[in-house]
Amino acid sequence: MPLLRSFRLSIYLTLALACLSLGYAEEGLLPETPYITVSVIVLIAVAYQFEGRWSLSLGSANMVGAILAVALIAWIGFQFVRPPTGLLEYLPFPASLLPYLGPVLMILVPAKLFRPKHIGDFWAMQGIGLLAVTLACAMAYDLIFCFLLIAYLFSFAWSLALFYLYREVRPSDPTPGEIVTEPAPNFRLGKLSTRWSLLIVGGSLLLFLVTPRPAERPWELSMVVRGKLITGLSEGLIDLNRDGSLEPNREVAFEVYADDVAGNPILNLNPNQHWRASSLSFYENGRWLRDRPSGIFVQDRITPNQRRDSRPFAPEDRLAMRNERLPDFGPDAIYLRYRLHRNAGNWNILADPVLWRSQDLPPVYVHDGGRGTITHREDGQFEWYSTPGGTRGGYTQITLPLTDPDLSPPMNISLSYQELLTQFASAGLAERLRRWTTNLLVRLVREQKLPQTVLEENDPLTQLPLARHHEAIARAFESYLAASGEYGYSLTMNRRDKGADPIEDFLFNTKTGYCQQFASALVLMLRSQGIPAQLVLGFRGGESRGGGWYDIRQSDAHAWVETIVTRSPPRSIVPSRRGDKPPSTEGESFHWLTLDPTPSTDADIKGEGGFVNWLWGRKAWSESVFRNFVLGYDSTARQQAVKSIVASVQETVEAVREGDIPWWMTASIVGTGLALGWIFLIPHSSRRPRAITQRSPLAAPWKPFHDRLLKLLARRGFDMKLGATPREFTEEVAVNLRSDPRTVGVAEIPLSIAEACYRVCFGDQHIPPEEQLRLDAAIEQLEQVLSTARST
Amino acid sequence: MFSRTRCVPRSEAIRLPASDERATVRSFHLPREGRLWLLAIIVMFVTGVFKTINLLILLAYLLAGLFIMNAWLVRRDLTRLNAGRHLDGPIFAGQPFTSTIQISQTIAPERRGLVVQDGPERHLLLRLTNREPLWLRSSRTIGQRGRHAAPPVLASSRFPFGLVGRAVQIAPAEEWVVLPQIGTLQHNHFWDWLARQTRGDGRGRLRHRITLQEADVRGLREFRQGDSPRWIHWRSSARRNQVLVREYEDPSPPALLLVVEPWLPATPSAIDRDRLEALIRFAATLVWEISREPLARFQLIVSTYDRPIQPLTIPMLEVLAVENGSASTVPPGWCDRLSRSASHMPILVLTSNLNSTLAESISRHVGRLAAGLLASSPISWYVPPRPTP
Repeated sequence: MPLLRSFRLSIYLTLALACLSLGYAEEGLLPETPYITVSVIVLIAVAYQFEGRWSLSLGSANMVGAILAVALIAWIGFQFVRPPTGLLEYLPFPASLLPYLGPVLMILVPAKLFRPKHIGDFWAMQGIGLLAVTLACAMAYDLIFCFLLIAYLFSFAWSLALFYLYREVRPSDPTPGEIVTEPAPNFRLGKLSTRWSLLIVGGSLLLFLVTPRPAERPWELSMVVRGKLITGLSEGLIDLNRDGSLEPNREVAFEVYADDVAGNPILNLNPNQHWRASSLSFYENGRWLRDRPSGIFVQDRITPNQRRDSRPFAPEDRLAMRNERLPDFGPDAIYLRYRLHRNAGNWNILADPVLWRSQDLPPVYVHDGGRGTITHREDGQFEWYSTPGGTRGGYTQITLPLTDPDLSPPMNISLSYQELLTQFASAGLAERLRRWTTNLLVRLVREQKLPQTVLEENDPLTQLPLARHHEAIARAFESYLAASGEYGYSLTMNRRDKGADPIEDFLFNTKTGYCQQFASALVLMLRSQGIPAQLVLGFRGGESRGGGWYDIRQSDAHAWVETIVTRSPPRSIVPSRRGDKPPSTEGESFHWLTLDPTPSTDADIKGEGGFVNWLWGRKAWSESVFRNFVLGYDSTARQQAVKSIVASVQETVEAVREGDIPWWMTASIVGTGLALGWIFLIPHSSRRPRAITQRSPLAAPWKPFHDRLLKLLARRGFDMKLGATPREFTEEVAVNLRSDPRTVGVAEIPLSIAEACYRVCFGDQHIPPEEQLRLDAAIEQLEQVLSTARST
Repeated sequence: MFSRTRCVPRSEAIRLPASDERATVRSFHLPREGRLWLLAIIVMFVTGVFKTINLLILLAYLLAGLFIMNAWLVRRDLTRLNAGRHLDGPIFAGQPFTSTIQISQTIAPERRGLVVQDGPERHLLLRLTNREPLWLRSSRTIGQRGRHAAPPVLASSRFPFGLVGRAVQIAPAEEWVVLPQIGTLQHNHFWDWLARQTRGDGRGRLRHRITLQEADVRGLREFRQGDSPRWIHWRSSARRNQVLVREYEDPSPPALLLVVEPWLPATPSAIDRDRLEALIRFAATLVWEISREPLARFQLIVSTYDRPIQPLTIPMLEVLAVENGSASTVPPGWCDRLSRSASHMPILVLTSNLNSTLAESISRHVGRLAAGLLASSPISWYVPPRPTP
């Protein structure tokens, strides 16, 4: 391919890849980004087609630039009148402005391409492209971007190499289509660029992995703010305002090992087990906020850790250790050993409901290295605060098989908190929902799914159902959403009325959504009837991999609802200890009741065939590697990676030493790796013989003895001065030789050699063989005399 | 039987447009693009570390990788290059000549993107393999005679990304002797003119007549000024009504002792310099034309050059090429330098001095007439070359 064509292709491809990378990284942050990206790439393609055949004059190019600038200004103006994207609310300033820079940069590229270009403009365009990729790096979130980045690097290296050649061979006044006056050679730099890029990517990744990192969490623009979501727990807020699809993520979030008191693995763990991670109680404008201070306390405070785990457990005394550190729930107790993966975030996940016993050990203990303080929260979570040097080495929870797995242990919940869980941030939304749920109650009563008393027995103050009807209403609402058939499960959320609250839009219009919509809707429906409720985030289910181990993936992430119900007389779930006084049978107790309104059809991301499942697994693995070792790589991951590598090497060495792996197999693997590296990384031409087979045509017959003379004289201190002709040099030598009586006899020899050279070189004369012999003999004589003179 | 042949990449190069920019030898240097590149890397890395943006750190490393790769390739490609510069023949002022640079390497499988600069000539080496050397030929013209400083041959590279540059010297600087321009000599007319001048026709009486051997008559021709009346073939002249003379075959080889007096006043004017240049060109033409005649006996004496001059064409031209003229006149005993053998050769004294008496002095010394000629005076048998600017 001629140089100019290759160069054009490379630079346009590089710019297109830069825009594509930026557009992909911004996808979901601004709704119009895909359209802008596609438009810009189309413009780049048009510019490529017309490059060299037709170009805008400077004035016309300025006009096009002005039109693009006006479009840009219009787009910026649109940002002030458009529906809120939430970027400014979710992202800290000035990071929230980054997505708005993307379209500006992308539009700059075609604006620059349509202008007449000089050498400096190519650097400017590459600079804009690089800036776009830099910006994209700050917003990227998945593996596909990594591939785009590597593709951009390949193209960038190719383009830079061609640009260097283009700049060298271009005429001083470049005319499109004419670069060199000589036939334009082909520039095949594709293989070289690939080799360079592979080396650079490999080296950079290695350097990247060993670079020391701060302990703080790596930068990652929240996934929640994107229309394109992936399954899994989010670290940030939940925003139901967004459209888009939910992509399944098959990464394993955490593993659980279940065994009984005797240490036997449990193979039939509840397939619908809920694993709670967090609860959300404050809803506003389609968003759930976390950690609103509540100031409530559980009724039965658990005993703090008796002592901290400061020494590692040995495998053989694991059972003894856990019996020492966990309460005794009897012979039916189930022990769940957790191993969290990095993508599980900073959550502390527990099987729901969390069971504990008053004035006893906490139901959780932290394994080796987990030094710190354990604190239980009112919603059943627990946290521990690690001391410096402490690590999360996993933890074990004790629980029981329950007859009613949706009911939590009794607790005392303050009325103020119960009231908090019934409040709305928007009075209008509350009123509209109350009217709708009241009508729904009437309908459910009419369909005999609720007793008539629900409508008749109201609180005289609030005109809402009495507390004793709360559980029945909650279960009826749950059933209505999950099983009435009016609402369907979908991984895609398309808003229909964007002016309405997302839950209203879901309940009244779209009627399809995923677990967060269902759970949020139920919470608001219950609150509209004065029933306290909160949203719970976590996981549901799990995939057994045998031997008592269960994998819980990000695709198992789930949201459900907890409401407060009462039991009279108080019901104790956990068996009493021997010697404890019997539980009270008077009064009533508060319990959290788990409600799951999501239709049970959300298994569409599981159960594919073997190959598809394998593909999903590979994809999940790649995503996991990207997230753990690139996007979310921090000091902890670095330490873990180093430990893993060291452990793997040690295991391999040990296996080889003990004969588990034959030495020939190790040698074969190493040899294969070296051979592949040699084949792919070392250029083929380097393996050929290096001898230069051609002889210079400049070698003249007088050269040998002339060179011999020069070397001989140089050894004796006669250096040929710069610019001196052979005649001048030999005359100078002759004068020196004549001045010494020992060498006067050979003083004429250099002159005769020079004369012979002149005769051959300039006189087109041939030196006969006998004269050549005579010259050789003369040089030998000269050498001999000079050596003798020097020695004496 | 068929044998498999494999296409082996060959070394190739293209000539770049000539540039007046002179590269300088520098171990490493950063062009503006390289400096901006480094700045971008630093900004990205610092931002990435400060804000813990891992992809930004990775991008900074990738860009640094490109930079380091560029520096490594530049260093590798310019290391251990074997090169030499050769001229394909003597250099004459105003005449294009060919300079050839031979470049080879045996280290890397191939090197690319090197720019070899030989004066204003630049070559881009698309590929230099370790199997095949390259010969880079460039033709150029030097207008003035004399010593000409040829700059060293430099090889520079910023390949492949143009971020880091390096330039090394692969062949040393040289000083070339540019020979004077050569005009055109009409040999017959010159020898005839010389014979007349040295016989003294029209110049007064001769001390010793030197007769040419007139054994063989080659034919008849028109009478020219300076011809002896004895050569007139009266019968043919009467028949054709035109004076015809016999033309003799001269069996003796041509011989000439050329004495050049490059006189230039102490404060020369442009005319004086032109006159000196005309003298040098004239003398060079005579040297070039006569010394290359078979069996010709030719000897050059330059009045300002006190060493014997080897009677070969190029050495004699080199003496003339580097001649700058002198304001001093020939000292009284200078004619003693004329060798005995020269006393039998026709002597031509070329001078740039309007008032030169060197020809008379030589005539007196050798006892026969020496032809004297002011180089700038027009003469029929010599067409001077067109002066170069």
